[in-house]
Parts: sequence; structure tokens; C-alpha cells
Amino acid sequence: MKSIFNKLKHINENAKSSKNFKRQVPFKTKTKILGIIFLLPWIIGLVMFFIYPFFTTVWYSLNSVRPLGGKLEIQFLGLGNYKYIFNELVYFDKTFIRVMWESLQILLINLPIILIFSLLIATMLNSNFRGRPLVRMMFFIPVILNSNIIEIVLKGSFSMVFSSSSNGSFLDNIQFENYLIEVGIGQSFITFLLASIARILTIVNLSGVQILIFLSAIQAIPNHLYEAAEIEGATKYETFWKITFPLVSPLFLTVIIYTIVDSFIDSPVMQFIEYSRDNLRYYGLSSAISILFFITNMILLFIIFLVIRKEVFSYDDKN
Amino acid sequence: MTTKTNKITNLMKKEYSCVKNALDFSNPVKNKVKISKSKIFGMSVIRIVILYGLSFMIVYPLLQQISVALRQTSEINDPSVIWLPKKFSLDNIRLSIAALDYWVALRNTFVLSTLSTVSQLISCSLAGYAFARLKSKYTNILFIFVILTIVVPSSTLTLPQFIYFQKIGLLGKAYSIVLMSLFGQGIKSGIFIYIFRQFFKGIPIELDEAAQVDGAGPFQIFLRIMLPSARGAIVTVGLFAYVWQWNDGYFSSLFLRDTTKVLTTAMYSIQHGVHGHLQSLGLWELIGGDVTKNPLFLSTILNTAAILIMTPLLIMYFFVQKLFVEGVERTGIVG
Repeated sequence: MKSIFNKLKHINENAKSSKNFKRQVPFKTKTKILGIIFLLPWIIGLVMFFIYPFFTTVWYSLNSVRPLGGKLEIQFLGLGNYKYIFNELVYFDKTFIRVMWESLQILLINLPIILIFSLLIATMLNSNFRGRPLVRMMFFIPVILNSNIIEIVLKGSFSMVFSSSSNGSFLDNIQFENYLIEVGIGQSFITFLLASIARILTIVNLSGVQILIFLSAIQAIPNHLYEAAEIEGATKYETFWKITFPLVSPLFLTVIIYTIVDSFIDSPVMQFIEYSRDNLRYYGLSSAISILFFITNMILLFIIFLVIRKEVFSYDDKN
Repeated sequence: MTTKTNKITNLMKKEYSCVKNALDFSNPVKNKVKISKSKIFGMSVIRIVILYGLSFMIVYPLLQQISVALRQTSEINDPSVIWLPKKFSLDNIRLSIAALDYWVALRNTFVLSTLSTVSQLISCSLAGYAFARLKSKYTNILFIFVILTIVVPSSTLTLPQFIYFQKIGLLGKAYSIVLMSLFGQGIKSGIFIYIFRQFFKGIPIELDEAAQVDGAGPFQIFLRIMLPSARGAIVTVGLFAYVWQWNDGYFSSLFLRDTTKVLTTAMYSIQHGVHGHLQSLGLWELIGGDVTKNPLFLSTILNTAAILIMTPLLIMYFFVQKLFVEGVERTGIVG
């Protein structure tokens, strides 16, 4: 009986000491342990769904990989896939290099337009005017409805006749063109005008998230800066260039990265990847194309990063 | 009496001076004020024209699509019908519901989006908080990987992922996408982690210190202080995750195949085969030859299907719209 009591006492003391121990662990170690726990799922995911697939893709791109009855037949090729892509691969009468070049061109044209347009619209949406909630609500509709499948499906069939796809060029009609000709505007200018009108919708649809980013950046600018500028007699134009623009400029890189990342799925290069994967069933070839796609985009991002870094005003290095 | 007349004369004098000032162009300061006022007015007019014009451009195609969807099939290319159909009919909608297998696909999409949003929120908020506050030597190195997951095109990763899911038998099941989101590698998870990190960084560190002095551990600080104040970021990330999952066709067409039908994959599968779909459902003969010979008929069905896919999102958007805009503006992306 006594021994049991002693044991119980012992256990009790043990529990106490462990409680003490728990308390004695310094806050910093606790933080570190918690950091590891919090990051653990992400790290597992990173290894499982990012690092492993990435290197597998690199490996596949150096091999001839074909699915055979549920198994993969792998044969080392070296750089054979890449040579094939540059020399022979043709899809819809287009070589790979040409498609890549075209998609880069589209991206490089769209990028500055989206950047300027979204900053402009964000500045406008930030100011006070009648019906602001309504207009804001409408401007975020493209963010909600940016399903590329719907766009693809409707572009193929419907927009030609009814021009009612989300990407449609509803102003691109003959009456408008005739009117412009009657007014006496040159034909080349008319085609330019109509093309740019048709582009506006594309740009509006592409720059939903970018407008959001800039809008939240503008709202984060402390108000006292504007008040001081107003007292000093600065015009709206000057406050935009001297206050809004420099304080928003750190986000240019974010917006550019987002725009480039967003263009991945719509890129015509994707058709090459899908075609070689699903139709030809050359997995190695498909991997090689996607690696090339990745490398080109990284080079592009790197160049933009180098250019932008010097121009951007950095407000606070800590963030 | 005299005071009243005095007042009136004073008022008249004031008014007179006002009119005089307004017509006075000799005073340079006032001129400048007038010019700047008119400039401001002009700018606001331009602004309103641009903004309302653009929002018209956004809404116009939507309205047109809805108007087309509500037309009777025989009215498809009647040029006299512009906005309001002569005879409202739900035929198009009925047919596309049948072709899409709408209710099953809607339920699947709803479940998939909800599950993946919740798991994205959990994994990304944890990781974002760790990157912002629970720093050690390695977090900065690991954060480079977050940037990499944003920048690397998903097409470089999907093939091995696809083979991997095939091996463990998750191909065709919604769990594959949910699993990826749960481990912080779902659709655009990198961006969400970035948003959470920026947000948690923006919360003043004095809050943590106060809680620490009061005896809270790091986990308690996260649960009791950080999460409740991160409402804006949670709303933003949640909505984006939901919408992007709903609209995603790339991952779902790859990983879910035809076994788990979601709205986008259903749209894919009827893209080329509306005819076959309706025929196999036995609806083709019911419609009548005149209509089915019309080349625009299939397009109308596709168009209506697109509207059917968008409608639930639009309805939800109108409900949470205020929350969304506020959440994004106050905190969301920039933090």
C-alpha cells in the first residue's frame, strides 16, 4: 500500500517536473518547432508535387518515353528530343520556334499595355465618383469569369456569327466601319482603330487581378502624403507622378510576374505540349517542350527583373 | 424693421459681389482657381465616361449571351430579334442541362471547389505564417521555392504528377486535386502563401510581444491573435481559391478525366460532341429537323452551357461582392 502511494507521488512529481520543463522551453525554440510543424505539409508537398515532378520532367526530356500497357518504356536519347523540336516538329503548319516567338511577341506587347491600363483604372477606381460601388463590382466580373475553357469553346464556334463571346469584338461591325469611311477617315487608320477597340476587351479581361493589386497598393499609401502635397499646391497630375507612381512601383514586378504566369495556360505553346502528350503519346518530347517553355519564361523574367530593379523606387527594404 | 432691410441689402451686396467676382477675369488668382476647377470637372467627366464605358463593355457580352440563351430555337438567326426574344423559352437551357449532365457536374464542382478551398486555406495560411513570423535559418532559402512554385509553368510538372497519380490510383478522383491543395501545391498556392506572408508581416510585432508577456505560446498567438485579425487575407484567398478552382479546366481535365465530371470538363467533352450527346440522350429526334439542321443550333447550346457554368459563380459573387472588394482593398494582396 505504501509503495503504491510512493509510486503515485513519484508520478505526480514527474508530471509536475514535465510541466515545469514545458514552461522552461524558451520561446524561441518553441517558435522554431512550431515553424517546422507549420511548414511540414508544404515541404512534403514541395518534394512530392514539385521537386520530384520537376526533375522527372528533366529526366524524361532526355529520354524517349512512351506508355505501353500501363508501363513506361524509357530509352535514353540524350539531346535527341530537343534536336527534334528545333529541326522537325511541326504542328498545324507551324514550327516550334515560330510559335514560341509569336507567343513571346504577344506577351511583350500585352505586358506594358496591361501594366499601364491597370494602373490607370486602379487610380480612377480609387477616386470618388457617383456609382463607384457599381462600377467596381462590374470591373471585378472578369476576375470571376476567367475560365479559359469557356473562352476557347465560344471563340471556336459562336463569336464569328453572333459575336457574343466574352472575347468578342462586338464593335467590329460593318456599319461602324462604313460610318467611319463616310466620315472620311483613312482605311489603314480604321483597321487600326477597330483592332484596338477589339483589343480593349481582351485587355480588360486580362487585367482584372492586376487592377486589384494596384488598387490595394494605392489604398495602402498613407493619406497624409496627399494632404501635404495638396497644401503645397500640387496638382492631381503632379501628385500622381510624385507620390502614387513611386509608391506603387514596387508592385510592378509582382504585376509583371502575375501577368506572365497567367499567360501560361493560354499560350499556344501549350497546344504543342498537349498535342505531343495526348495525341502522339511521346511523353519525352512533351517534357522537352515544357522544359524549353520554362527556360524561355525564366530568361524573360530575369531580363525584366534586371531592367525593373533599377527603375523601381524602394520604400521600405524590410518588406 | 431697419435691421431687416439692412440684412437684405447686405445679402444683395454679397450676391452682387459674387456675380462680379464670377465675371471678373482680371484677377489672376481667381482665374487660376476657375481653370483648375474646370479642369477637375473635365477630368471627372472623362473618368466617368471611361469607367462606365468599360463596364458597359464588360457587361454587354454577358447580357447578349443571356438574351440568346432565352430565345426559342427557331428564332436563333432571326435578324429582327435583337434583345428581347419574341417568345421566351427555356428549351436551350433544358437541352444544355441534359447535355452537360448539369446537376451531377454542378454538385461535383461544388464539392471539389469547397474542399480544395478549405485545404488551400489551411496549408497556405500555416506556411505563410511560418514564413512571416516563425523564422529560422532555412525559411529564407525555402521561400525561394515558394517563388519558384509561382514561376514554373504547371505544364512542366503535370506529366509526372499524372503518372504518379496513376500509380497510386487517385487518377479520376477529386482527391488528387484536394491532396495537392492540402500540401500547399494546388492551383496557384504559391501566390496564396505570398499573400498570407505579406499580410502577417504587416501585423505589428508589438501584438505578439504583448501576448508573449501574458504567457501565450507561439501556437496560441497564431490561433488567438493572428488568425482572427487575418480576416481580410482569408476572405481574399478563399474567394480566389474558390473561383480559380471552379474555372479551372486544365488540372481537372488532366487528373479527373471523365470519371468525376465537373462543369469545365463537361464543357470540354460536349465541345465537339453536342450532337452525339443529345442523340445518345434521345433528345435529338424530339427537337425536330428544321432546328437541328441549323448550324447555329449547336453553338447556341454551347453558349447556353457556358452561361449555366457561369451563373452559380455570378450569383455567389453578387452575394459576397462587398466582402470581396473590401477584403482585397483593405489588406489582401499587398498587405
